[in-house]
Amino acid sequence: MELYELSAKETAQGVSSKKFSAAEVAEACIARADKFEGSVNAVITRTSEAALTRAREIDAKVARGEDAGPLAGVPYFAKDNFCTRGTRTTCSSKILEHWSPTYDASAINYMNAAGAVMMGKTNLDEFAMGSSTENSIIGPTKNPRDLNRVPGGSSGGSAAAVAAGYSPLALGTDTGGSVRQPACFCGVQGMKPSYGQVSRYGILAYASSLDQVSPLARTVEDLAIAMEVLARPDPHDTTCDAYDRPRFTEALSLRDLAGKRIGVFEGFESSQMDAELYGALRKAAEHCREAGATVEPMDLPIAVKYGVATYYVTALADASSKLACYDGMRYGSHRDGPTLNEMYVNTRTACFGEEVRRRIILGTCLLTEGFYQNYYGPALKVRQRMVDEFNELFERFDAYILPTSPSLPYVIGMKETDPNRLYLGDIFTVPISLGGLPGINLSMGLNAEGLPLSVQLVGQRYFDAELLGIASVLERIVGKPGVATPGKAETSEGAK
Amino acid sequence: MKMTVDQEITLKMAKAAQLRVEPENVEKMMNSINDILDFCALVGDLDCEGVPDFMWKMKKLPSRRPDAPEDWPDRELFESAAPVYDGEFFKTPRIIAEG
Amino acid sequence: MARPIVIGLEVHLQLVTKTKLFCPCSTDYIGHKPNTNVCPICLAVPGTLPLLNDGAVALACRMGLGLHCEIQNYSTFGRKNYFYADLAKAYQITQYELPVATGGYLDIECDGQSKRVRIHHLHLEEDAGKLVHPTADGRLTGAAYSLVDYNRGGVPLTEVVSEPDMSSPAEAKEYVMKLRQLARYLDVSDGEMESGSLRVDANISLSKDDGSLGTKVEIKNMNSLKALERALEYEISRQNKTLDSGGRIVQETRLWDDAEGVTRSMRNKETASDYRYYPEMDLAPIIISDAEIEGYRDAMPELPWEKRERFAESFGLSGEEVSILTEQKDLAAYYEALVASGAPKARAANWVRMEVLRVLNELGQDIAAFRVRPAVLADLVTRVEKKELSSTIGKEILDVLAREDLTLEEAVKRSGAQVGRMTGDALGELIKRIISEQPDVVQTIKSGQDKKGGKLKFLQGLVMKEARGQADPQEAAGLLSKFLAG
Repeated sequence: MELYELSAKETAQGVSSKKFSAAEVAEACIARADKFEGSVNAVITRTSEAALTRAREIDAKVARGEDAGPLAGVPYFAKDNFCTRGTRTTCSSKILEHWSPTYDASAINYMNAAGAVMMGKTNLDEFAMGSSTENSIIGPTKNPRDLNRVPGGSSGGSAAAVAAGYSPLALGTDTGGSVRQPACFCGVQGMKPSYGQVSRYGILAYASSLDQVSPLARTVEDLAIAMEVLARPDPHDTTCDAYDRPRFTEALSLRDLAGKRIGVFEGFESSQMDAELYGALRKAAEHCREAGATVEPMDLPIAVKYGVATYYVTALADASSKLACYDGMRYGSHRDGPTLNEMYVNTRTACFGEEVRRRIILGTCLLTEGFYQNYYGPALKVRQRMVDEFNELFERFDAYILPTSPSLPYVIGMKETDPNRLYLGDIFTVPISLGGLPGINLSMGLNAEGLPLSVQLVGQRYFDAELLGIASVLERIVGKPGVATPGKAETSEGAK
Repeated sequence: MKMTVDQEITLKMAKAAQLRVEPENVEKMMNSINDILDFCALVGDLDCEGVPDFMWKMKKLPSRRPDAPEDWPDRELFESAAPVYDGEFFKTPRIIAEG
Repeated sequence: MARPIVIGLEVHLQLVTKTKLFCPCSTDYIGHKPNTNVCPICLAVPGTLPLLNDGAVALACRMGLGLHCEIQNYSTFGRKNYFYADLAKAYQITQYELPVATGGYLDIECDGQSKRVRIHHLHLEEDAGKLVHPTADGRLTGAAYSLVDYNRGGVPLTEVVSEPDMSSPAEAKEYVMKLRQLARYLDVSDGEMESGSLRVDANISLSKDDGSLGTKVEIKNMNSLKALERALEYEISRQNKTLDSGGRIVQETRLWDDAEGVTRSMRNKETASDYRYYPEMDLAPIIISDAEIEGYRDAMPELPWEKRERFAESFGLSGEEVSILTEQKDLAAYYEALVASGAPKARAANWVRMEVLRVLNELGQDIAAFRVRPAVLADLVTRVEKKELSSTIGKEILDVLAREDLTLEEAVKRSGAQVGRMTGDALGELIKRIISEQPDVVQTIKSGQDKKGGKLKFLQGLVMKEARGQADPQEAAGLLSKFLAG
């Protein structure tokens, strides 16, 4: 087994026990990225030199007999909307093309303190607005499982990096599915924690009430280790809960699903989704039953019917407000103008991409008197009803299984033009975000063409550890996803 | 209730967002807004009589920040990258006095 | 037929916290180098989040309790979205739906009448930065550029919104004065209109002829109590004239121009609805437990009206005296300390009202900066009471003590003033010298031409003056007669 194929857990154990050095791991991962980055295009800024220096520091720490942390020498990438001190943070936007933050996001601090080694900043749709990672200043990222296809998004760069073996671990942000859906498209594990688990400090916001820092990995255990590092109270973010988190890795000791009540979502017509993904859902339900769980069908009528509309109203409105600070004065790109307003307009029109400008104008509209009363106001109440619906269901179930995406990764450039089909792409992920629930994309292997299949596991808010436990039981049955070799067609058998 | 925008409102919204929409793109933008307004009008269909506005609930609320000043050590680093900072002020095109 | 006047006020008070509302920057912005009290949060650096200042919540609660408001267990913030150079985030974090305190009232006195002004609510919000428009010749118009200083950006404000319960400019002024006094008593705000730590927006309408409510006009930019009164008077007359000539009042915001003495339309700049308010999700709600509210209640200091009542009762002072002494909390405390140090109540009240306030006025000082400690003044007042010092000398000594670091003894010595200190031979020598220096006057007296005794009084006055108040007048008169006879 090559060093780049190891999980985060195996890497940290190997480094801490001096089986191999952090520098060797970093070199292997850098070489891996060197080899495939030309075709995958997952990374906006690589920090290989700094990573090697940092890896040697970890090795020195180990040599001195010190505890180098639970992620000792583990390479990771962060989506380019995490603030990194001294390393430019672009959000894939011209408006931040040359911006270097003066501080590290809390999540970055926690990763570094745990001994992890940052390898660079990954591609995303500009300001995380999109679900294909095509809409970027560096151009589209390709899916390592099939270079003709999109990796999903907006955290497509992070998902591709983990799938291609650039690193065992990556950070993304999930607002309405931005980690779960690319994890699904790239065939890796990805977890959106409950809202309030992980600090948002240093995350360039898309929507304040939805954004959550979310790890991607190739094993559920690595997700749990990352959660243990990331989920903690933070004095810099008052929306991050102050309660004492459980030990997420302890939940992995769950042997089977005896006594667990699992709901399998059946509230859609099979014509609305890909047959193989539907098959994966049925298979996952079967595995749950085999593992001892009580499995029953369930439905989320309010969430499925109203979720996407509620999500759009909420997220677009918030984006219009959060992106108003980019005015060309204090940071970021600037364009001159003869008056204050013209300076604003020139800067923002020239430096925000078309899709971002469109969403800002939409969001502005949704908050304007009259529109607010018919859109934003009702959406706040519908959202509360969705939360109530979830809470009622969790009296009957410990977890649900839903699809992550209704479709397999699509071909690059095949822009969805039918708005109704476009909205459908988010239908299973956004309700979970609106409810603040933990959701895990669990890889279910590959289809005959080598495209990833997966399901989404959803738990009750703050029951992230329990959900990781259930995911780990299922992972033992279906197997962990392997590293993709970009450019080489894979098959189900080949991946194992 | 479903709402729509016309070209004039579209331009007004762009102005409020401090963005320019070129004349040839106004119609496209207007249609795009109307598509979303059309789809999202769904949120008005659900009976939410007596339902409170959504707000996150937390297990344990973080304590409020104590009223104690702190310095910002990275001010100069920040200023060196600020687009319109003149060493003392942030400089903008002339703002016409109100009134 | 005068149309009834309806006035409601929105008063913004800058809170005297150490740090800003949502970041740990100092609130000390006046006189500081521009853009030095700033940080990533108040400069709206991407990724930063607001962190609510506990001290600001406490001050808002205290003010709310002072206004008899109900402090809310659960309140939330919202965003008011608009672009302007002094607003870094392009939205102001404020409270609009669930404010921290609601209901309440403030009693005012106007023309001897007591009136209750109801308070609609009180909320927390952040201040904006400051704009500077420089020009070569110092004029406001024609500047090539404007300058932005974010030092004030994020300073906590509490906005007190009254019901439209005031019916004259004088009542409006009285309300602001009372509110300011309360804010100062509670150490919530400096309440300085001139420096902007207290800002007033007024809503005014004239009732229609049928008695129904008229169209509301908002007036801003009044930088003193005088300006508030003048602006309201101007606006009443403007609206009356408009209505008299059959015109319509437009609902709008108008700016007071103090130099010209007029209000001017802001030309329909922005109406409230264009601000695009919506809930702030970067901040947890403010949860204030009943125990916390009780804590604030227990820590409430004596309020102005409570102090007035107590002063009238325990010091036996007149209404006017009480008003003056309790106008400022510190002055009242000074008076109380004076009495506690042994100065007689009524005398002490006179000294504070007449002399202490006079000296403070001359020096342009606050009572807090007053050099003469109450115990010292009490000593001085007692000596004057005992006639050890004349009251004129006593006042002169107070002047000296207020300006120089001297003990009372030193000041008394310096003034040379102590009745009875110059006596016997020393006094005799002084009188002999004066007699020798005034041969003409002495001649007149001796020749019996000083029928009315005016010349003798003149000499007596000279003696007392030269003795600088140290001679006993009776002894001096006796000695003078003796030497003139001799």
